[in-house]
Amino acid sequence: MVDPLGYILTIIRADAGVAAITTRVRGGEPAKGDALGPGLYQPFVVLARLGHQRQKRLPVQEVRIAARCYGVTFQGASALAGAVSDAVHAIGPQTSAGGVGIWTAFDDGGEGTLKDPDTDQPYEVIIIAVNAADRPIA
Amino acid sequence: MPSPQVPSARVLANRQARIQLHRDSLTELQLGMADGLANLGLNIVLRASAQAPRDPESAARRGVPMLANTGGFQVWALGKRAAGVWEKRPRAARVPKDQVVLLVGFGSPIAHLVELGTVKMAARPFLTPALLALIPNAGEYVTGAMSRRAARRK
Repeated sequence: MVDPLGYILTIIRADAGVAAITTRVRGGEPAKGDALGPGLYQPFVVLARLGHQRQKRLPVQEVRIAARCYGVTFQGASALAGAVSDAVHAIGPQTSAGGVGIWTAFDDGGEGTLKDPDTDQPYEVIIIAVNAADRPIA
Repeated sequence: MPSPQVPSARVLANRQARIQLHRDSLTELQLGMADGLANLGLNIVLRASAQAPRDPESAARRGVPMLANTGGFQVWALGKRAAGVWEKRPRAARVPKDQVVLLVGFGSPIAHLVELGTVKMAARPFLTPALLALIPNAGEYVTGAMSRRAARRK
């Protein structure tokens, strides 16, 4: 079964609005040097797959992805979350070069700005709901 | 800061007795819908609890209930509480007054950190998979309960 997280990551990373804030967009966990302590904060995004629901009779799946958008300040985290939302909200249908097909993707809400318990860095979470093909599209 | 103690069974029973449900003003169909959603909510909580990480030693050391044991739900019908185990409505929840709404969640302060991850801990989702597994059957829960209500009335 195809995992559309990589394609969503590519879309976010290629978005001009997000790129203007950060090019540090990761899957699963932050890269080394992303998460720093107070005074050294920098904006970055981490995508985590929360779960999926596969249609019984159609080759379609709904995948839910959490995008944790870390900012230098609370306002910065909100601005980054807004840029990520703009990058993925109401996109599709489109297909990646590798054959990952996305029918639609939506910003499905999120919570307010929070602080990471380890570094105290402000971040905001948005949930991305992706309707994607469950197999590669030729 | 002292850790909050786990409430005793007596405290929990008293708290449960204080929860007022406003079911008199609802029609049979609305009550059926609320009952169906309550059953769905209970099953989501049970499924998510089974998938939630368990660390009884850490919870006992901190004097707090284990994450897996903090699940709960509420059903709101027409802006009034119709079913559920929570005493108060979660602050962020919006309950439209013309709809029947099911709220499901975990009250532990670390629940969202486990579900979504942190900079030092990968996400370990337990609620979303349970939700996605049961949402396709939501119609069966609701229509079943509404049918039973309608049959009881005849």
